[in-house]
Amino acid sequence: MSVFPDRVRLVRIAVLFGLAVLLGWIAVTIVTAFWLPKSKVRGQETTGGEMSRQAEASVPSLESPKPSNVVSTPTVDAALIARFDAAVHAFSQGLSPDAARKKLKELADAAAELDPTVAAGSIIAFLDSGRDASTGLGFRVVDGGKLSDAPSLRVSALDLLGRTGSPEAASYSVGVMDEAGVADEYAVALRNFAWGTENLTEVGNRFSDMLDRDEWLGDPSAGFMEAFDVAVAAGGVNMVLDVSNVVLGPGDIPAGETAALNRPAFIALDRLVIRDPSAVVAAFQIDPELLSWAPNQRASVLSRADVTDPAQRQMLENYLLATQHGDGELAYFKEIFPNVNGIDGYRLVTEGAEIRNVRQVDSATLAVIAEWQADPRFSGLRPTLDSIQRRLQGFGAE
Amino acid sequence: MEMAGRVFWVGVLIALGISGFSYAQVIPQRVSGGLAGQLPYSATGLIDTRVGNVFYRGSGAVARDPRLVFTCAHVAFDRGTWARSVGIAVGWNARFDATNYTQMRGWRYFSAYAASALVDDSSAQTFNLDFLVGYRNEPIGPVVQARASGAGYLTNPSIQKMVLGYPAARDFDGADGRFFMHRTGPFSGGFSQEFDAYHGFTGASTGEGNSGGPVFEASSGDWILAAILVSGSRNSIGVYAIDSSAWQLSSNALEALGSAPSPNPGPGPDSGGGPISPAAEMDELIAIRSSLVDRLTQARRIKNPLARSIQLRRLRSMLLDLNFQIAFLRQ
Repeated sequence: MSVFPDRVRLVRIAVLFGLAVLLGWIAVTIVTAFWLPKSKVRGQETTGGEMSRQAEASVPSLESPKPSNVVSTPTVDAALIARFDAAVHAFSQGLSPDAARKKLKELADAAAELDPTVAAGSIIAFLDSGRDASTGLGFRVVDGGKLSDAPSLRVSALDLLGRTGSPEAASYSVGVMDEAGVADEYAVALRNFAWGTENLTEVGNRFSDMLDRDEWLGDPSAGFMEAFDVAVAAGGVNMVLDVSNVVLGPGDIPAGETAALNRPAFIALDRLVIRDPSAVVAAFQIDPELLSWAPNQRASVLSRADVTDPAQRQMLENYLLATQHGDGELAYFKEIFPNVNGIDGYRLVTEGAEIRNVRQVDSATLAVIAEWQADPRFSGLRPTLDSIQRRLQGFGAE
Repeated sequence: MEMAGRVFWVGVLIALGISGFSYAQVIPQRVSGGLAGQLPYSATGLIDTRVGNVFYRGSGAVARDPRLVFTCAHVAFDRGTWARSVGIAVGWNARFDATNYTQMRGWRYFSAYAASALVDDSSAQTFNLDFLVGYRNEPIGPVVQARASGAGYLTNPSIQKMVLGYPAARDFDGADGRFFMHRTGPFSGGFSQEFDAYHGFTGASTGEGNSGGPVFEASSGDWILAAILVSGSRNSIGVYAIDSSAWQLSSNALEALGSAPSPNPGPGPDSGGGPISPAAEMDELIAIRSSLVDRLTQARRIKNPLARSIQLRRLRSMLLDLNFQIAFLRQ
């Protein structure tokens, strides 16, 4: 009887000891798994981009103490990085759309309160960490080309990086585009680059690079489509050709597929022909068959031609006289030419709306129509011209 | 027997409740002919659009300016071309379709590159873009005032609201609306914000064809336009509340009519790379052409048919462009 209680005590001691060892092991595991790796990641971040190197340089060195009258300025904000880390955790748990938007707005507000350089450095540090989480939201552009909704935290971080206005935003975004595996990240990086450079040719080249990605073309994301605004911002004949070539005509679309890119291409071409008409003229000179596979889209573009500009008038005459029109193409053209409609909205890069004065457009067009009616070259088009004339006169044009 | 009668009537009431009659439901009623000549009825009209070869029917109102019509965009949007026509028959109220539509000279609507107000898309984000202003140089008809910001009036439960329009059939019971103007309300209660400008209200319904119809709020004896009807079900409606973006869009329409200053920015300066010698440029172009031929071979092997079609066309265009430039340099 006297031995048994001792054995019980021994067992209890052993169990307690075991528990203590277990708790200690758990504590060590937690520290190594969560705290130390973060420290390590942040250590790696400081060897990353240009901003990170500045951050590293700003850390006081034991070997070379700074003079006491120099105050070091931090180039990263630990609190903002911690917010991003916390956001990764929160999004990983799953948030409602409203909660997700609130979380993104909190990050945006926190970044906006910081010095732009510090904010940019902190965001770059987060991006370099490679951490990410899906937000469950779409890709939505609002006023000033900002995103109110971003599908991932990295896309949102890239958006905030561009919004800092820091010079590092554009240079860092070039690297993102070079390595991007996600179209939405590429789109925001492209916007940041466009915001930070005056080299529109290079901006256009980067847009073309985006179209080179077959996997993105075949299944375009919202960000991919919104990036068509970059083509409008860059302008030039290559942008007209590139955007035209993603338009699919009735014969291009395999069964079960949809022409998802026709909408962004339509909007981009419509804005390009108003903002950069000489590029459209040049594109039709280079390729007279441009958009022949999508006759109504071609008619939409040509319906914007400004007849007071000799080059555009020539382009229009070529279209009317020398082009083999598709089924119903001219019937559609005569109902919308001259086109004074408009598509408004928030864009990633460009600002302002394209507005043409209706009276001026109609009056100038009527004058040219009268010349064409008297021109024997247009005799075969007389019914089309008469129809356009009647329609414009019906709207009070003189 | 008295007890049995009570049980019977309680049962009837419960059955009615289950079958949907328990709503305090506001449903469209025909507007009498006498009212059609008065505001806001006289500014409301039947909308007729032609998209491709399909005709769509909707509702709208002459608002803010006698030359502007406010309506929804989804009756006028195609995926890659323009609607062929947008017309309105103001004050129409008859058994048969209007014969005297006033055609808009132009129209402006919202669209993002990635999202537009499509007739077959019923997401909140789509309805949040569902706004169109039509315009022409001559006055279209009597005009109602419009709020530059309607959301506050919609969400205020004590303000009376009313929806006008032309439901082809009532959502509530399927009754044929023909081409008569209908009024839903007046009713009170607050709308709730669903997605930015898109607001919803449960307890009222309209019907297909009422899309684009004006949603008014009562103010000192007048009805002021606060929103446009964009969606609905048997017991709810969704509206686009006029906001600063919509107001700006209508201002852009007025500017097209020559009524406002032009803030339209032109294209930015092209600041590409510096000049290089013609010989070096020629060498570069020929090298690019050689690489393009290789890319053409690769593009023919792309599995995704859409991507393959697009890439082949792009590469062909690039080759044409290069040949054009080479020919230009050789001259």
